[in-house]
This record gives sequence, C-alpha cells and structure tokens, in this order.
Amino acid sequence: MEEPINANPTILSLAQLPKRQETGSPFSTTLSANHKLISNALKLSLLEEEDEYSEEDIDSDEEEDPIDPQEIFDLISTISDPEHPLTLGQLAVVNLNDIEINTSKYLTEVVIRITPTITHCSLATLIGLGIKVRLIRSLPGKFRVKLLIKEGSHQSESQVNKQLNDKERVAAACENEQLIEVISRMLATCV
Amino acid sequence: MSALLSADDLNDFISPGVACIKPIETPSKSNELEIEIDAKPKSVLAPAQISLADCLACSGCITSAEEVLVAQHSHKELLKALETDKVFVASVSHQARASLALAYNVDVEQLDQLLIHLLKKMGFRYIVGTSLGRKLSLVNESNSMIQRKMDKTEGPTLSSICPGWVLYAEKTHPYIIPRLSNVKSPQQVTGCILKNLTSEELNVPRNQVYHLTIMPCFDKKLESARPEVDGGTSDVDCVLTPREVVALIEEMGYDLIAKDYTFGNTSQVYKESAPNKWPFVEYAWSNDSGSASGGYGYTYLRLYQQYLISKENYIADQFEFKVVKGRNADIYEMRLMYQDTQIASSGIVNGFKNIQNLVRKLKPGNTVAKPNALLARRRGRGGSTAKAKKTSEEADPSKCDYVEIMACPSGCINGGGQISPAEGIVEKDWIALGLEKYGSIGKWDVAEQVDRLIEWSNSFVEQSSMTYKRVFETKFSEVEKVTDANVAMFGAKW
Amino acid sequence: MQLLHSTQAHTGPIWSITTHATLPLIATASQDKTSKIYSLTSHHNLLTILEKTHTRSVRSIAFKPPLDNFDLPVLAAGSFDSTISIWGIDEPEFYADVESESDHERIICDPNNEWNLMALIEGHENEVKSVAWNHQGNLLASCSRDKTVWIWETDQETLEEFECIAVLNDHEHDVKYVCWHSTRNILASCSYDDTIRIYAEDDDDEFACVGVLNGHEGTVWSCAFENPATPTDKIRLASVSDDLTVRVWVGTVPEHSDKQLPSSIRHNKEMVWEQECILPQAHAFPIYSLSWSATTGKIASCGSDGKIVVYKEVDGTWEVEATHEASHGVSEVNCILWGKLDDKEILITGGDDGCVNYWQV
Repeated sequence: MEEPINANPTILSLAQLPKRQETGSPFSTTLSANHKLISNALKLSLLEEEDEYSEEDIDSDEEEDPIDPQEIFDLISTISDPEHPLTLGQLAVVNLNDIEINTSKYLTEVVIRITPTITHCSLATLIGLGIKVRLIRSLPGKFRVKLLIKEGSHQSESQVNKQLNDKERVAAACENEQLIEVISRMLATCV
Repeated sequence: MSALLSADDLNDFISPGVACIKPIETPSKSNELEIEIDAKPKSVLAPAQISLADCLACSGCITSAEEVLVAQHSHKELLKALETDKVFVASVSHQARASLALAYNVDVEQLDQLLIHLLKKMGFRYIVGTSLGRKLSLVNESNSMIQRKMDKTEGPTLSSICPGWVLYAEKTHPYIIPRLSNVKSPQQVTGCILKNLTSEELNVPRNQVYHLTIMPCFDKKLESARPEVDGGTSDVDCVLTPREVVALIEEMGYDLIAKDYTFGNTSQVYKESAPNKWPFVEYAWSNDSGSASGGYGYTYLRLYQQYLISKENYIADQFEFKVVKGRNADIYEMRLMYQDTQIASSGIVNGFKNIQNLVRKLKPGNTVAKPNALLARRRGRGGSTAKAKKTSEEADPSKCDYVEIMACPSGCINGGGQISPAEGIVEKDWIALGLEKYGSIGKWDVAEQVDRLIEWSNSFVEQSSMTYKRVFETKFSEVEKVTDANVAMFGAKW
Repeated sequence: MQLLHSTQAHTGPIWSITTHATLPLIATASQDKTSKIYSLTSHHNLLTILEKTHTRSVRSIAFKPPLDNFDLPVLAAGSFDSTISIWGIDEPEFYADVESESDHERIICDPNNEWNLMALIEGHENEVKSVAWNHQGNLLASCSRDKTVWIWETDQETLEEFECIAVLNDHEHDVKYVCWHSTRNILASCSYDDTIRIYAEDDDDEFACVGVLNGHEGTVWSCAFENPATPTDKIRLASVSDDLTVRVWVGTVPEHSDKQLPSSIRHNKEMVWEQECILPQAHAFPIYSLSWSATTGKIASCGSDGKIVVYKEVDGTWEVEATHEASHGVSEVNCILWGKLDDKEILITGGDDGCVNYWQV
C-alpha cells in the first residue's frame, strides 16, 4: 500500500477511552444486543400466523434495558481504521459525547457525529459505511441510525452525510464484494 | 474557462466518469489524493498528476476525466510550449474550420486564411488541413474493407476513427474489439507526415517538431496519447478544440478578424503555409463526400464500386446507391446495389443511444434463453388487436459490412469541442448551420485519386525510417477492470 | 386502518411491489435477489419464484399494462446488478379457446404456469433503481445510480427486442425512481439531486426534459401522477422525499406544437410546473413511497418510520385522513400501493421485514 493519507494521526491510549463504570464484561452488551436481535427476528417470523400486530409485542421487552450511548460507543469504537492498525476509538473518530439517543414510542434514533482524522480525509465515507454496517448488524430493528460528519471537520460534510444516510446506497454498497471485503477487515477487530 | 467545458449540453454524448480512481494506483508524494464523492479539492493542494496515458489504461471512467484532458492539452500548455525553441506546426480539421467559420460569421476559406495568419503570428512554421491524412485513412479503410469483402469476412467491421467510441468499447464492451478497424485516423496520419516532412525539410530532429491539431472533439486529445507501435515520438503534441481556440484568441487579446489582414488567393495561402514537399498541396484543405464525420461509410462503397468496375468487369451504369433510414436521423444505412441486388453496405451510427443498441446486438449470445416458441404463439393470439406492422425497411447497421460510428449525435460536426450555439439559436439549427459551412468546403474526389495516393504513401514510407504499420495502423486492447482491494478502499463509488 | 393479511414473502427486505392492471396478480422484488408472484385474491397463493437471474438485490418490479383482456402477463424487474429482466409465461394449453374473463384469470393464475426469462436488458453502468412501463406497454423506462434515465422500446406483442430510444442524463446524481403518466407518454424521474424531472417527446419524437421541479430539500424517493376520473388540462404529480414532505405539483399540458411554425419557436415547449402545496407533515423519518388512488383521489405514503399515512383532498385542501403506526413492526416500509382485493380498494405495503401487508382503509 502507498503512503497513508493521514500519516501522523493523534492517537488516544486504550486507557483514555471511555468505559462503562459498572461491572460486567464488555461482552455482555453485545450479547444483549444480539439477544434482542434474535428475539426480534423470531417475533417477526411469527407474524404469518398472527393477523394483526399487537402493539405490546413491539415495545414490550426492551423497557428495562435500554441501549445507551456507551453501548453504541462500545460497538463502534473497536472498528479498525482502514489505514492504520488503530481503532476508531483510539483515533477519536468516534467519541462518546457525540452519540445521542432519542427514543420515541416505536423507534429509537441514534445520532452519531464522527470526526474524520483530517479535514481532507477521503476515507470518511468508507469509515462511515463501516460504522453503519456494524450497527445494522448489531442493533435491533427498531433503531434508526443517523450518521453525521461533525460540523466543520470535513470539507464535504453534506455530501458525505447524504450518502451515508441513504438507505438504498448503503444497501447497494453492502452488495459490493470489494467494499464488503474492506469493511470486514475493519470489523474484524470488533468483539 | 470552466463554463467553456460545462457538460450541460452534452446530452447523449458518452460522458466521462465523475471522479477519477487513478491516483491511488500511481505512487504519489503527499496527501493530495482526491477521490471522494464530489469533493472540491482545496486550492492549496496540488492535484494528483494523471496523464492521458493513465486515462487510457484505466477502467475507472467510461471515457476520460475531462479535467485531465484539459490540463494536459490546454491553450495554456500551448502558450508555455511556444516559449521553447521547438519548430511549431499545426493541422486543422474540417469540422473545426466549419465551427470557427460559423462562430466568427465568415466563409470557411476566409477563416482558413485568418487562422493561418494568426498561427503564423504565434510562431507556427507550417499549417495544413487534415485532408491528406483523411484521404489516406479513407483509402486505407476502404481497401481493407474491400479485402475483407474478398475474404468473405463476416461483418460488420466497425470504424475506429472516433476515439470516444473506441475507448468506450475498450473499457466496457471488449467483445467488440476484434471488429474494430485498425486504420489510423486523419489526425494521426497527418501528424506523422507533417512531423516527418518538417523534420526533413528544416533538418531538425523529429522530436523538436511540435504539432498542434485543431479538432472538433476533446477525445482527440486521448487519441493523440495512444502509444505508437514503435514506441517512438508521438505524432501530435497538443490538441485544441474550437472552443479552446476561442479562449486562446481571447486570452491573447488577438482579433481573429485582423484589421490589418488583406485576404490573399486562398490556394496560394494554402500552398505557402505547407511544407515544400507536401503532396497534392492544392487539395490540402479539401473535403470529401459522405457524412460530415469524414464519409468513411460512403467512400468504402464508392471505392468498392470502382474496384468492381475496373477489376471485375462490372457494368458501371448498373450500380445504384440506396439510403435506408433508421429510427432516427443518427442511424442509417447506405447500400450499394448492382442489378437490383445488394452487394455491399455501410451503416452510420451516431450518439451513445444508437451505439448502445448496436453493441447489444453484436454481443455474442445476445438472444435470450428460449424466446422463440413462446414468441410465435404470442404473435398468433395478438393478431386481432395488433397494430399494422411496419412493412417498410428499417436500417440495421449490425447487418452491414461496415459501420461508421461516432460518439456524438450528428457525428463530428457536433463534436463536444465545437462552439456552442449563439444566443437565441437552438442547437438543432446551429448544427444545420455548421453542416452548411462544412458542405461549402470544396471537395476532391478521393475515388479518382486512389492510385496516386497509394503511390505517394508507399514512397513516403520508403523514404522514412518507419514501417507502414507505424504510419497507418493502430491497435486496440481491452482495458482490464480494476479489482485491487485498495481501489475499493479509496476509490470505490457506491 | 385494519390489517387484512400479511404474507411473509421474503427473508430479506422487500424493495418493491406491483399489481397487474386487470389480473389478480401481485409481484414482489427483494434484496434476496428473487421476485415472487402471488395471486391477489383472498387465498394469497404463491404462484412462482423468479430466481437465478439477478446477482444482487431486485430493486424494482413492474407488470406491463396488458394489450387487451387476453394479453399474457409480463413483468420487468430492475436490479442492483445493473440489468433488467423481463419475465412472461408460456401460453397455457387450450388458451386460444378461452372466451370468458374468469376462465382467463383462472388459467393465468394457475401455479403450474411456467414463468420464463424472456430478455435480460443490459446498458446501465451500475445499480438500476427503478423500472416503469408506459400506459401502452411499448415503452419501458429505467433509471440508475449512473445518473441516467433510459427509455427502451419494444413490440408489446412479441417483446422480442428492447431498443434504447433515449438516454436522458439531465439529473446530477443517482436517479431513484421513474414513473409514467397513466394516459400520456409523459415520464417523471426523481433523484438524489433533490429534483424531479419531466420528459416528453419533442417534434422529432425524441424524449427530452421538458420540466424541472425544484423544491424538495432532500432526496426525492418516489413520485406518482394523478389519474383523475375526468382529465383536465392540468397534470398533477405528487412526490415524497427524505425531507419528510409530501408535495403536490401542477403542470400545464404541453400543446402539440404546430409544425408550420419556425423551428426556433417550435422547440420551446417546456412545461410550466409549480408546487401546488405541501401536504400536512405526518412522517418523522424519510418517506420512501406513495400511491395516488385513481378511484378515490387519496394519496397514501409510507417510509422509514413504519407509518402508513392516508391523505384526502377536501375542497382543494389536503388533510390526513388516517394513519397507522408500526405497520411492519419495527421495520421500515419501502413501498405502498393502492390495489383491489375482491373488488374492494385496499392498500398494500412491503417492508424490510420481508412481509407484504394488506390493509383495509
């Protein structure tokens, strides 16, 4: 590979990264997310027999353990940068304070503002896609993920934002083998 | 300047890709890679250097990155070059002359004189029309077609005169490549002859001769960058379109319609501006019959007819030329009939849309799984409500011996580098006016000069240190798809 | 609004659904690379699976309007693999003897009919996002991320060949959706560039852009022409967008220009379009699809928020008549369509959950 685009990024040590204060292994959060995903999938497959959705089905079991920003951070901070052998957390591309969760009756919106390492970073869309894929794969169906480039951190914010939040473009990108290969490499470091 | 290149009127042209993925393949010095979605490069960063040769070898865009074309062949580059001590020569295409004459509202002959005057003032030593190159291309193309006809080669053979079309085929329809004619275009042939004769006449090394061409199309810049078979010096150093010529004139503060210029005798001017050994110099700016893209389709039929009369004892007055219309004005067929039987045919296909239909028809295995039985039955049932079937013949270039293909609708007269319509004139009418100008250029019937032209070109090759292949033939090859993972990483568009 | 039935048609998201104009048939397009055809009857039988053709998502699907009552059904499907497939059935046995429409329906909707790939159309550079037939069934429009809209012409009896008759590259970005007017050869396309463009034939019978609709502040995902019972000289179009709005636009019918006029005047036949109104906001997330009922004049929309919204025009003012939340559970709803089930008008939706839901309104 050629010289990286950002040759000298600022790096945070692992100890500097925000962690949940409570006890519990880092696995538990992902597991619970997976559990929800599975239960959700099961729930949907039952629809064939049921003639009508009951509203309790949709929002019943998630009240007691809502997903918080830390949990989202844990899911995406471990993604590797495509250029450096470092994670997005270490590079401060994703920051706990830039994750916002808005809950409504049926849906939960997660707004994540990412900070590309240099303003000229042409990899912003690729990193964003990696985060998007990670969250689509990990979060239950009721989540709507909105990914934004932090204001002023990138020279083509609006274009990148538009592309990253275009459901169809993301879906099509996920069918592009070359792209998915790169994304898989980025996600390989995720637990 | 950017308005000059705005692509808003390029409907139906094969347009270049949005962003270039090439930089990531070329080792580069700093963080200047510019590859993401529609991002505007910061002015402080120098753009990555991409050469036209890179464009030719890369499958990232369908034809070429416009910015690259312009960066390497701009009037600014020409002005820079003019400060060197090279010997400057120029050749001007028929369509570009028509466009400039129309824009400046002068006769083509007047335009020629004014342009020659201007170029001489700028330091050009010799200026010729591209007629000699075109006539040699026409003869070579026709003769190779006649040879194919004798060999009973299955058609169609596709012309490769239009570099936009050729590059599109190389990048997206490689199965077409074996059908492409390998006859070099007028630009390249003219360039080779002009450089050789100038070098010989002035006793300067060939690489000291700088050749500017004025062409109707940006893609001619790409053509000029194609590698030669001998890997030697290129035949063309800079290609400018009429639009860029206008920009050049404006920037230099010149007036093309020079007040101090008195028109001379046109043939005298032509003669004085050409190298001494330029053959058929009185016809150096002359036109040809057939389409305004050069008349390749027509000339093949004309020369084939002549061949049959002179070599096969066909009776001259038993021939007939028939034109069969296609579904639009940019697609038609010319048929050479002998005693009411078709013996040869040429198709004309202009514009991306018509090219699409042709390449799809020529794709091997084009026919779908099992349509026939089904279709037959469908037809049976629909009979009662069917609207009357078209009974008249419609042109089908895929069944012709030869197809003249141009990427621009209306062909080269409407090339992407031609000057846009004047205020208040619709495009269609503007093209018609351009055609009128083009048609006003005096013709020199190539059919009557075949033997002289061949004789001259043979002696030219003999006297040069080049092979016939080098002077008159080119070659095409598939542009491999980029599969490198890094490309996906940096340059993949999604 | 009441759910009448739900069919788990695919495991992956459903991108698009289409119903046949005269036959009780409904077809789906899915991310799982297949399409399925079901009977649009209370039985909801699976008739066939169209598979092993596309290598990526089937994004868009459309039944061809029939030539006559006995025209065999034909389907076009556009895929992210950049191709468009055309599907039809072999003529069933004894079909030529069929006289009554009910027999016709029974025979066509028989699951034993074999659906065949009749053509695979290549041309787009990358993902095909939408396909649409004109009302006569001889023109197929397609659009793609390659920024272009193509129009293909075919002989609607034989479907032997699809010839490209127009490549329209007026949009600046990804073209998301194309739709034809229900009685005229007027085409609309909407795009990632936030605009809608209208195309019609010029004096040389070539399709050209005759109108640009600016106003949306986000990707325009879909649009639909009004199909009023009594046509007027105004044409209306409704559109939905990432900007959470549903807008109605109105344009004047282009007059057939007089060929005697000088060409400089003749060529000027742009349609004048203006935004008529923005419908009351009812969605909280991007709106992906809408359908304008030819029967009742109501508009229905759906999108990322899982909500179905029905709007009604009362004395020129649009109001929300009904909404239904979580219509596909927590999933996004990608497409919505007014359809007929047992002669009653219903709404049909397709979602990321792979379900086709049928709604009584």
